[in-house]
Formats: sequence, C-alpha cells, structure tokens
Amino acid sequence: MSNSSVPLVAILLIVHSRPGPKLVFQYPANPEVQTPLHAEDGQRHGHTTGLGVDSVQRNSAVEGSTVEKATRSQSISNPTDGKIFGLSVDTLERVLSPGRWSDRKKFEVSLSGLTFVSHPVYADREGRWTKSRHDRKASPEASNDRSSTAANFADQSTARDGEHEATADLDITITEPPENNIDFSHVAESFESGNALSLGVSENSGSTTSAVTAEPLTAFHVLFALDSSAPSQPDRVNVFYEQLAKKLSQALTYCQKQSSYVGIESRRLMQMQSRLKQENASNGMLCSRSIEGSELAWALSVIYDRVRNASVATFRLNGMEMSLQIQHVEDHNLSQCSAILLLDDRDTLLRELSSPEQSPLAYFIRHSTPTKSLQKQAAKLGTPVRHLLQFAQHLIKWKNARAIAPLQPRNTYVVHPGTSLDSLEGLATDYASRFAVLPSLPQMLKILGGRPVKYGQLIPSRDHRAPYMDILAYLIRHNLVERLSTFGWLQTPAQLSRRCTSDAELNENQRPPSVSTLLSPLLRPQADDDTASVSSERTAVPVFPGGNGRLPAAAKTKAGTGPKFLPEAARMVRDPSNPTDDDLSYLQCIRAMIRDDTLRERLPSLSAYFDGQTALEDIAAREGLKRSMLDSWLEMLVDDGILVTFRHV
Amino acid sequence: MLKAVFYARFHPERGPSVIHQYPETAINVSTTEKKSSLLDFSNISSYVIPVYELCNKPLAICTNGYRVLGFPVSLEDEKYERNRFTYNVCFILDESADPKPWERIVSKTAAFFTDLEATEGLLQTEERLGGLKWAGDECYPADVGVLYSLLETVFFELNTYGETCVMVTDLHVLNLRLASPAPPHRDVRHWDVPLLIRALPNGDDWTYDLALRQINPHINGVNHVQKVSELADVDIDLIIKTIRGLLSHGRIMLLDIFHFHAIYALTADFASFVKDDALQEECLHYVAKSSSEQFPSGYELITLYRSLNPGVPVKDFYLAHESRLVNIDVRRFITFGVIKGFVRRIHKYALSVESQAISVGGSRTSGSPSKAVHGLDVDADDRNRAWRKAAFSSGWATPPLDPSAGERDSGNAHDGNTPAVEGGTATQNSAELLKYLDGQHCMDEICVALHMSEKQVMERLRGTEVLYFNR
Repeated sequence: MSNSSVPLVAILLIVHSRPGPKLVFQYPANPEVQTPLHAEDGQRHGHTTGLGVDSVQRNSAVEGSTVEKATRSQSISNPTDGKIFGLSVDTLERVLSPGRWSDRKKFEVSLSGLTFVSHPVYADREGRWTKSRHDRKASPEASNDRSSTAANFADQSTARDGEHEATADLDITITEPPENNIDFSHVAESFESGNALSLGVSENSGSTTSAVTAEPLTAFHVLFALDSSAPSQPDRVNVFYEQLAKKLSQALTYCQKQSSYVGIESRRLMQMQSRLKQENASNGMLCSRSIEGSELAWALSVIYDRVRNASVATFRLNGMEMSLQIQHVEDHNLSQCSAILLLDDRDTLLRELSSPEQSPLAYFIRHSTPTKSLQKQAAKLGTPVRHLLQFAQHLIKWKNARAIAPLQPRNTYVVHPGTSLDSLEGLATDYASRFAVLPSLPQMLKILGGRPVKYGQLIPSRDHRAPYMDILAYLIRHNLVERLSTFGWLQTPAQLSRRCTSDAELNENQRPPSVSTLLSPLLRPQADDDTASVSSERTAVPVFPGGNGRLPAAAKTKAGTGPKFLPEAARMVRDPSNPTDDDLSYLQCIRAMIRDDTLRERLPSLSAYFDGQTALEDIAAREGLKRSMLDSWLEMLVDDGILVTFRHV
Repeated sequence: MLKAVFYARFHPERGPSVIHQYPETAINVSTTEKKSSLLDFSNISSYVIPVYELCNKPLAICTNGYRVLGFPVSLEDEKYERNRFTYNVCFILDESADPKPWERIVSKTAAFFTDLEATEGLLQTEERLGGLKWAGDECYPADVGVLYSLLETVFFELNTYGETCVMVTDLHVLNLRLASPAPPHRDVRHWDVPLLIRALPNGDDWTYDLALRQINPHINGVNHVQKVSELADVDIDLIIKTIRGLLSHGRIMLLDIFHFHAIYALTADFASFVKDDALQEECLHYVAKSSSEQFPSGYELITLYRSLNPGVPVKDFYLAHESRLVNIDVRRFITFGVIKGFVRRIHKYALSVESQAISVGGSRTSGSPSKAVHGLDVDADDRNRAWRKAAFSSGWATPPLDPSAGERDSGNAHDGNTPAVEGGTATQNSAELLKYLDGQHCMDEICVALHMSEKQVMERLRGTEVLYFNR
C-alpha cells in the first residue's frame, strides 16, 4: 500500500544541552524531496534528486547484514560534506531550535520548500525532568541508588512511585553503559561496543563537531520534515503534528521522566556518531549503525518507513510498545449494516494479537466474514452488535480492515475505475497461489470488466460459492473491483393517466386490476374540502386522506366521483424525504397500484430509499428483509413502470 | 486576512530590531515589559534575521497562534557597516490561514525592497533622516520617510481589495495581488478533446499567442489534440502548452473522444441532475437539434440518460432509442453529461496476458470451472501459446502476431479513412502496439498513437492473448 502522496521527507531528532542544540539522528540518511516510486520494506529505490549529503549512496536501507555491507563498501568513496537539505548541520541545528516559548507547543518552521513540525519539550528551569517535590523527598535515597538505577532503568519504566521518578532525573550523570539491561530485540549481534559507550569517547573526539558531552539534557524534539512545495493543504501539517509529533513527544517525555530515556539514547547516538565520523563513515552507514544500536533511532526509522507507506508504525520506546499512524477520516461509513473486510490474512492478524486465544477481538476476527453485515454476525455469534462495532472500529482505525457493503452474489461488481494495475503481476502470482484451480486474476478482471452481470452468474455451482466469494473479497481488498449499485426513484407511470381517464368511463369490473385499484373509490383527493388548493392539471391524483392503511369498503360507492385528471406524463417523486403535496399524492397513487400486499404495506417506510442516492442493494440489510424478496419486489416495481433506476459505481 | 506587517533589520548596535510595523502595536519589541500584542519579537528575532545561510530565501515561523512569513535578505557591500545589510519584511497571518497565496507576495515585496536599496539606497537613507522613530519608541510613528506609509497601504489594501499598488518613486511601484495558485490540472494528453467553454476574445481586438491563433479554428469539441496538431500543422507540444494555459484560465475543458463504440455510464451526480430543473432546461437547449421542431421534455432526457449503462456502447444505446433520439444530437447529449460531470466515459483497456498468464499458468489447467462457465476460447489460446512458446525456445523467427494482420492493414490503407499503415510497417507497428498492452493505456490512446481505428487495433490483436476490460 505504497502511498506516493505522503509528504514526509525525513525525521530528525534534536536535543538541547548547555553547549547548544545537537542533531542527534536523522532518517533517512539522504532525504529526498520527491517521493520515490516505491517505498516498501524499508528500501528506497527512488530516482530523485538527493538533497542529502552523498547522493550517490542511495540505499539507506536499514535491515539485514547485506545492506550493511553495501553501505560499508560505498561509504569509503563518499565522505560527507556535512550538509542536510542543502544547509550546514550547524545552521540546521540552530534554525530547528526554538526557544523556551515553544515548550510543549506546536513548533513549525518553513524554509526552502520544507516545513518542519515538532512538539518540543523542555526540562524545567533547573534542568530537571520531574517535579521538584519528589526530588526533595527522595534525594537522599536516590543518591545511594544512583549507580544501580542507571543500570536498571529499563525496570523502572514500570515503577510509578516518586522515589524512582526522582532517581530517574539524576540519571543524567550516569557513568555506566546501560544497554545490557535494555530489552530490545532488534539489536544486531554486530554491535560491538559495550565499552565504547563510556563517556571517555568524548575525549578522543574533541576535534570533531560531535563531541560527546555529559551535559544534562535540557530539551528535545523530534521533527517531521514535510515537503511543502506541493499544492496547499493547510491541514496537512496539523495532521502530522497532532497524530505523530505530539503523540510521540508525549511518549518520549514520559520515558524521559521515567528513566532519562531520551538523554541516554541520544548520548548513545552521539557517541556512535563521533566514533564513526572518525572512521570516515558515510551518512548511510552512520544511519544504519545508529538504527542497529539505538532503540529510539530504530523507532524513528520505523515511523518514517511506515508512514511513507501509509501503514501503521509499531515500535518500542523504553521497552514499551507504541503504535502511530496517519489516520484517514474516510471510514465513517461503518454501521451495523456494513460488513468487515479484513485487509490482511486472518492468521496474520491473529498472530499480531497478544492473546490470540481468549480475546474477544480474536474471536471476532476468526469469525468475521465480508458477506454478512455486523448485525447478522452479532446474531450468529450471540454478541451485542455494539461490541462488534467497537471491534470493527478498532480494526479499521489500525488499517486492518475496511467497512464495506456485505458482499452478495446478487450484486453486480465491475472493475474499479481507479484500479492501478502497476502491481498486477505480483498480485496475479499471489492470487494464483490462493485460488489455484479457479479462473486466473486476469480472467476475472476480463469478465468483471466486460458487460456487467450479477456476480452470482459467474459461480458455476453451489459448491463454488465459497471460493468465488473469497475471490470477490480478494478483488475488493485490492481495490480491483467495486459494486455497481442501483439507484432509483418512484414515479407514476405515463400510461397511467391515459388509461385512467378512459377507464373512468368504463364499468368498474372491466378495468384492469392495477388501475382499478388505483381508481378504486378507496381514493379521494387529499384536501377533500379544499380542491382549489390542488392544481387540477398536475396533482389531481386521487388520494385517500388517511395516507396509509386499508381503506374503508364503504368508500367504494364513490367510485365514479373521484377526480379524473391524472398526470399526462409520468411524474417522479424526486425527493421522497421532503415530499411536496404533489409528491404525496403521487406516492398515494403509486401505492394504490402495487400488486403485492406486503409491499403495499411497507411502501411508506421504503419510499425514502428511492431518492436516487441510496443504493437499492442496501435496502434489504437496512430493513431486515430477505434479499430475494426485496429483489422480486423491485423487479415488480420496475415492470409496472413505478420504479425507474440508474446504475453507477 | 493579514494581521500585521513589519520591517526589521539587523542593526550593528541594537541587533535584530523592528523599524516599522503596522498596526503600531502588533509586535512587542520590548524585551522587558509584556504588552498586549500579537507576539513577542524576542521569540522570533532569530527567524526574522537568521544566519546568512538562510537569507535570500523564504523563511516562515509559527508562534503564539500566528504565522510569520518572511524573506530575509542579506546584501553584501563594503558601504555597509560590517559589510552587510540584513533585513526582512514580514507578513503575519493567523496560523490556521493558508499561507500559500501569500508566499509570492512576501518574496515580491522582498525583491522590491532590495531594488529600492540597490538602486536608491532608500532603506539606509531613511534611517539617517532626522526625527525617525523606531517601532517601540515613544511617539512612534513619526511622519518621516516612506516605509511606514508603504506598509500601512499594503496592509489596508491587501486586506480590503486583495491587491495593492503603491508608488514609492517614479521608478518604484509595488504591485501586489493576492491570488491562490491555480490547482494543478491534469496533464493534457494527445487523445484529449479540447472544448472551449468561454469564448476567446476577438483576434482583432486582442493579439494572442500565435499557436492559439493557429489552432483556434480546429478546437471544436470533436478533434483531439493530435488531430488539432495535424489539421493546424502546429507542433503538438506547443498545442499542449497552449491548452494548459487555457485550462488554467478556465477557458477550456478536456473531453474524451466521442465515437459510437465508446461506453458511457452515469455517476452519482446524476441524482442532482434529476432534481435540477434549470439544468435540465439548459440540457434541452444544448442537445436539441437546431432543425427540430419539438423539444424533448426533461423527463425524456432523464429516461434517456438512465439508459446509459456500463457495458452498453453508444451505438447500441442509439439503436435502442432511435425514435426518441430523433430531435437530439447524440454527441451533444453525451458531451453535456460529461461536461456537467454526471456522465463519465468508461475506457477500454487492453492487457497482454503473456507476461501475466505465464506466471499464473497453473491456474488454467484443463477442466477448471472457468472455461465451462465463461465459454472462453481457451483451447485456441492454449494452442497458440504452446506454439509461440515452442517458437521462442527453438530460436525460430518471432512468430507473427496474426498472420492475416498484414493483409488487413494493406486493405485498410485503401479506405483512406485513416492514415495509411503500409504493410511494410505493420510489424513495426505491431511492436509498438505491444507497448500499450500493459493495461495502463486506454484504447483511445492506442488508436491515436497508432493512427488506427479501434476495430483495426482489435483485429490486429486477434489471436493474441489480450484481455480487454472496461473501467
């Protein structure tokens, strides 16, 4: 699900201490302003202009030792010149370091086609990260505890009491490398430097710009660099701020308060930087080594890669799991009539759950089907539908599912107008492995891209129903096909007027059934005593005053006395939810024409659906009717000329 | 809405300072006392007067709910103290306001100030005038110099009229206009049909682009871009450029090529057409043949439009409703819907299965239910493929795509309807055709590119494994 419209260009981590601001980490190593064609699996293979340092060295991929080898081999020929986005690191650090006025507020600066947005967090004026009340109370103990605290800060993340909080803010002066106790699974075995983390490194690297100091951290912020040259979308920066920058910053602040997390991680990164710079390593190498060596750097790289792919970033901060994403607001069409289409394999989703066996969500995932509405599933599973809606909302929010109209063999599906066939080859292979003995993907596209037919007609036998519905779900999941829906309005048919006027002279028993119903004396003008208000030409449709319900037989005696002027042409009820007086009389007339008793009964509640905007395919689910029955009703209405329809996707 | 505008410079003694601002109390320039103003200058002074590396390009910063758009300029000259003169004219907006329309105003103002300074030294001269008050001084503003009143005019006129014209000297006139940059239009393609939606001015009154003058007679809502190029004998790239210009001025629209094999379908907007009597009236006048005595009714139009179904080409639609269409120009009938957006063209795409099918060959074993159901001529396909595969692997000459294609082409060449495709170029043409069979190119594009009709393309592709689908 690569999304080329995501404007994210890079993520930067800047920390402040007394000597000044410091760019500790940036990802990717060589940011590109234009979006690469495919940004998948952490690989960048764009062909765009690098704004970064060594533009030759493009593959700043993060995973696997092969990548590391590649970057290593390239790094020799690509020494850095210290420029990012065409600016010196020094300038960038300065311009991206607002004053204390930006503390815990939105910070946004735009320069040379880029907008940087972040949520800076400052320590208090004394440089402390936790409240001084705890500090004072716990400090004697804390000083005893200092060395062990540093080594055990990972455990502290669970501790909530003031004592540990207090010690945490003293950790800034740690002298022990703490990484032995950190539990993060991604640390590469090649990370060779337990001892290199000691602060001694700063002495060796005094000549480089990245001298590592033991200065306490006074502020930090993670900046999201966005391409702002694109046409204006004022909300876009805010979306990145609210959904990524702010949330991440709040999480990091928590970790920093708990265990000086940001301070420790950034120091680790700076040490790594200064060492690698001495070895003349390239930016790319620096970047990949940072990611291997620091949980925070890893998290930032995951956020970048996932957000660029419009998917969910899941990572760990200080051992605690966190997920971030840019949410789209399009999925508001979830209702109890919708079905849930899982966007990933059931097993994959179940594996991602922490307790796949017991959790109700797992139960829901295991039993969800795109062919049944949530309402029906709730009945089947014996769960309240609001629970299912919650599960569905959760799955949709985290991009694991989509709300769709339940898949139905009675519906017509056609190739999606916006189908991108870029990835068709890969899909065809994947498809073939799933549906081995069924028509191939191109065949299915051909059929569904031809003259529209009901999907059920493609299913050769009852036994094929399940696999064919699976195919349909697959096609919908990959946006290859879409439902062709039917919409319609009710009308009084044109011939009605002609027949009615002539019929008026006929004997009652000679009339054709439908018209006799219509003209049956059951109907009288709506405004019985005020015929003047009803325009004789347009609205003299006989109407029974009550509006609904059976009509009294006694009224039959008035057969010939009803008004005989009927609409010359067919009259459509174009807005049934706000009917005019005319519309009401048409509806009455239409109702009288209906042959099926049940349908006639239900018409008042159904008529609102015939507004040209509600898909007729959805009526059955909304009204809790059997689809086959509804279809036969609609067919009857169309045959009688009462329902006019059109179709679109 | 512009909240404030100010002019600041780096002063060798005072550091970054605001010289002029309008309104007078918009920015708090004092570092000590808190005043009710939009923002504190001390917070953003390093962004208003940044390091040299960030000068001479736009720089915007948000603070206190406001967005400060600036374009710091740094002039280097021996005549200045410290050999540099750094200043910035900044515009303050609400943070929620869209800054895009202002960006060009900010850079144009910066360029104007630079010009004032470079040619007349006006910015520096003004500071030496006796009685000049700086923003934040007592009795600011003093009635000295031109810059304060310049800012005042810019502020008022941009807010009131969206444009301004200030004459500072005879030579220096600042013209600014607030305009959102036009949304980008989609690319003009060779097979797009341009249609003028607003008449061009008379050529006698207005001299326009030579290319436009040349192509104007051929833009009629029927000819596609390539045809216009051929008829007018104008380079196609020039035409595309011209059309792009007309698009951005809202004078032209791009349609698809209308022909009777094309398929059209309705969109969701059809519901609003049905409800809109005025639109139906407009439609009546547009689609009725000039010779017709009787106008169709709105209801009839709705009925006709409703019969447009995906899968039904215009030809079939016409035949089915011939009697009703007597008074209606079918092309205009369709075009009206396309222009108003309630009808859309469904394009036909061709996808060569060669690359796709081989990878999924396993799925097409004999006896698969698909054949029986869909009645596809799979056997012929299989034979054909087996033969081609054998041919490729044995090193024979590349088998022709369709043995009879050459003959048909030479036959077509005599029709004179389409540009001739000589038998000799048929192979070359076929090779070119293959490029378009990836499912990304619609049939219109293929036909225009190869100068063939849809029928000819289909015939050329007969016998090859090509899937057609509409979308």
